Amino acid sequence: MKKIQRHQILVAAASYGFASAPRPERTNMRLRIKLEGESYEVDVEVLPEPADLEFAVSIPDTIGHPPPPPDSREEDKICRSPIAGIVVSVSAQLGQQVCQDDPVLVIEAMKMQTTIGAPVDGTVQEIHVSPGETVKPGQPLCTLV
Amino acid sequence: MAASTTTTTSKDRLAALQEAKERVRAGGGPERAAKQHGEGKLTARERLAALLDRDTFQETGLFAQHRAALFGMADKPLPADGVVTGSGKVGGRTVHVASQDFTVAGGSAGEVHGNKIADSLRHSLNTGTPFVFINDSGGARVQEGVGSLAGYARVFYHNVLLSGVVPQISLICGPCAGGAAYSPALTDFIIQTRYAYMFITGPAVIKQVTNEVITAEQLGGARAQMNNSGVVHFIAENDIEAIQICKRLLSFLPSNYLEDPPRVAPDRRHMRDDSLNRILPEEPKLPYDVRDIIGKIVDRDDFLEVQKEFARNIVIGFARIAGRTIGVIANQPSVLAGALDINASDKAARFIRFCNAFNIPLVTLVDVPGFLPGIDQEHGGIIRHGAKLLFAYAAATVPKLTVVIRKAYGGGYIAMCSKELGADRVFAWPTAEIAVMGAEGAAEIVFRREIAAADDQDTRRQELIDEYRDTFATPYVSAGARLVDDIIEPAETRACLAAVLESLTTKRISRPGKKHGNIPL
Repeated sequence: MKKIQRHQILVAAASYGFASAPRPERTNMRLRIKLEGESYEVDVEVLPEPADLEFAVSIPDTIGHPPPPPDSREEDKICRSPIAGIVVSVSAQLGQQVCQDDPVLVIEAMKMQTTIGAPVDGTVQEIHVSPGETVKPGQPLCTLV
Repeated sequence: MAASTTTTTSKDRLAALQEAKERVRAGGGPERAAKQHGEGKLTARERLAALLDRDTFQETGLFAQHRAALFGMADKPLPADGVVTGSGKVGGRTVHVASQDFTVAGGSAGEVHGNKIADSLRHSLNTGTPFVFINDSGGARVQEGVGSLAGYARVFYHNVLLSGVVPQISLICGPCAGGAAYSPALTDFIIQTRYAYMFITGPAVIKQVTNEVITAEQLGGARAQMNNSGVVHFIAENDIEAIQICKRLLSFLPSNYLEDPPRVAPDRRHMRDDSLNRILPEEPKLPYDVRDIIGKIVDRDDFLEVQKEFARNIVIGFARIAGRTIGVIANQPSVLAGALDINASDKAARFIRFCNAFNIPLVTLVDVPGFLPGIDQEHGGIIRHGAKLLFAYAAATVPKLTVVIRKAYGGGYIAMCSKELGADRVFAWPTAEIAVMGAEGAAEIVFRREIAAADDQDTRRQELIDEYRDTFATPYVSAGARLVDDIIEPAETRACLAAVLESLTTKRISRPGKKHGNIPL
């Protein structure tokens, strides 16, 4: 198994992660990196590898391949309101491809806006509500295929 | 005379021992092991090798044999009776383990199989060391009849004996069906891989009885048991990730209830974080992800979220502040407005009780509009489920620290480890609104007559709402009543919590003697 050591670099207040071969003998480095054409000199602190995640066994190649995607039921493809409230906005469009948890619409309930995400990966087939509409818990908001 | 060929020398005996051990360790043989690998799974022994520190595994019951004689079982040896048991070390600390071997009769659980697991549990209990049970079994060994059930029952009984004494962690790496599912359910944490499923009655029985059609994965796959039922605490992509989660989880926990959690070197992260002063949206109706706040308060990259996809309106998990383990409980305003409901109450209450049993201080982050209104909530028993949260907090004797971030309204305020439930310190950010109910609702009740009598009711109503909000929807009234110990700059939250955790390490309180309290289950 190839070891990856984690580094965290602070550049212009933004945090970037990258992976490189480990250099256990050094805990601090000064690197020059280029980002969008600009060159930066940065101090790098090498974080210690969490020792408790090392294995005392060789892992067969077949392990760790992505498992099959989860089965979803027809019922899972209907996005239902989790709460009673008012539809504020609908961001999903008919025919749009969405991944699980992608925002579909926003409901205001209990004086708070709640973003409703797609229940599964799919394509938006039907949108059942429009902004300003009052919805009940369990009411279908949109259907995916 | 030449040496007799029938005399057995010590050397022969050693060779025979070696051969016997290798034969048993091969389990169901290379073909079945290859099949297990082909399905993306490790074998029982590979899982233990991955879990335990190198060369620390000490096996017990390697040569155990079943006693079944019926249905052709008499001449059918089952290596180690289908379960590998013993002890070893994880991160230098002893644990006891059992790992079911699917290559041996489908990991089926017979009487001896069950007794081996129960013995391992007893060793855990006697030594005050955590127990890890790796499940991969087709179910009861039907040929052994009631003996198989007795084996299960012994395991369950021991799970209960260990509960609250040592941490128990179950990994579900293959099938775990029928009665077998109750051992994991009795342990503290369940880690299920995406290759595994758990249920009490399977798709075939459900089809027969109710005529409902469902696949094993839809019924009891990791996602179903996390999102729908909350049975599972962690989903792992595969065996390796499940073992990584298990190791990381153990790193937060003491070996038993008499020990404090292991303290790691304090991380050098700054105690002050100015970005916390700007983290809340200015508009109170806009949600945020409370995990961003948790991430800035705890030691860097050191938050292990539990039951991530279940009752997402409350966030729970283990973290460290200055190297000390804490249990975090936080309302999540971006889901269901952060309101407490049946599932959120159950989720948090069980976590609080685990932390209390194992000397892990509780840090509660509050932004709660109240309990979730709804007929299904009331008829589903939000009164008794919500009461679990109150009970768990009030009964907890570990250090209890509360930070009110924004809203803390009504019963939700009380339930989220308020001062009167025994919080050792309650901090509030200046954005905190602590009140019986929202200003709009409160003004309608308090000033009903005054609003009705006004010439311009809408204007007067708004004036009175603003007046109510300015008076009560701040932390100052609560701080004046000493229900909030201090109002702090958000940037100082980590520093305040670290200092209080340090000062509370010697906290001891005694409670009235009793057999046990009666938490509203």
